[in-house]
Amino acid sequence: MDVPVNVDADLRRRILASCHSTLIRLGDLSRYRETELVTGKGRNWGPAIGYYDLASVINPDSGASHNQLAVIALADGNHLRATYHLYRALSAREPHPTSKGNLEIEFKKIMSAWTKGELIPTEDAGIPGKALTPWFVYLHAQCYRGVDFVEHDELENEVLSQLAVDLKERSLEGTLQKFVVINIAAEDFSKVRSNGMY
Amino acid sequence: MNNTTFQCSADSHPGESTHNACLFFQRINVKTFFTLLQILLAELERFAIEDSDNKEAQPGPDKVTVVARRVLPALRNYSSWLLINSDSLVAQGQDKDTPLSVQIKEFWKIYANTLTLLASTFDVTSLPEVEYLLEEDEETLGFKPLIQEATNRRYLLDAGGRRKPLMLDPGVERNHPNLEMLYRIREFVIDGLDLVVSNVGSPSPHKDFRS
Repeated sequence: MDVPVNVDADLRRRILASCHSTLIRLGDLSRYRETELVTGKGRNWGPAIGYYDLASVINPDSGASHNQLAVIALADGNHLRATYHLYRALSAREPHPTSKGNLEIEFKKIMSAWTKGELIPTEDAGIPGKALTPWFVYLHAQCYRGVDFVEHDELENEVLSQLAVDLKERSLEGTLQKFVVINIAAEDFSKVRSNGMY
Repeated sequence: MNNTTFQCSADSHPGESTHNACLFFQRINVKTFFTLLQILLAELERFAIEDSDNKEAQPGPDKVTVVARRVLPALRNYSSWLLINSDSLVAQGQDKDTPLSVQIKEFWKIYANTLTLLASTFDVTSLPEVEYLLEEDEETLGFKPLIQEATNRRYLLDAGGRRKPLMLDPGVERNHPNLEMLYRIREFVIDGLDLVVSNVGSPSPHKDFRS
């Protein structure tokens, strides 16, 4: 049986960095396979997500995994997951360099979809609870601009009261945690921007 | 751990828009935390009324309702946020009657009431300890806004800086989810005590659970 080898701290760090990079690249290859060979809802992001999640376990301080997970969310058109992962990529100790630009593009898409009445999918229109996530991401897209808007108070209150109703009626699974982390990340990143760090 | 904490202050440099964004998001956090506390408080008050004749009973996991279980993990994140941002909230709360300052004052009241009710419903000193990272702890590893010296107790095993193990690490025996919920309550109350000890200026009802 092989005996584990003791390595010094610097070599250990470099080995783990290599593992991390490799896992990100494996995730990218798995993702390319889906985007190049499969279309639409037939795509299976499972392997790609698995590799990115493993990379995140090896180095939770890196924003790289979250940026790549955001790319998958963008491909799926899932605004909440995209916003969550982009903010996570920006809020890491080693933030990903392209995430700010990607976040701003995503917020522009959200604002445009809202203006065209396309943010809430047609099949979800009128169904209780289905508007919460679209309202939430739209609220964030507006607040990010830092310019007050006419429906600010009403939208914010609507999001929070709908959140309270939904929590009493059903489990929101990971949605509530995403909301909270996005809220906290957004405040923190706005302070970083405000202090000229970006 | 990085202790840099910026504030949404009017003195920080650049654009008015980024300063406004900072205030908008601070307001969202205060109001969301407030909303979650309202939900938890309502669930706790149900048992306070039902159990008022049975003071000798040791409340256990059955006192943590399904709805309370949905919000406790999120409240754990907000508790960490408060430990890190309490100075900023106190500063904003001292502005004269701005909408945000009013919301912050209302927030402190419900926060104090929730801590008081938690402390009177549960014997906090007897609640279980959990020595591995809970799901919301694992999820926020590497999340800089919550990883600061004030939250060391949440993520680290000891003063030496060793991180708590993951729940799937070899040798870790995961507790029943009921015990994890009680631990979340314990830590939430202890975080509140930390704020009192650090004299953040939260309302005096905190004195009700000083030991």
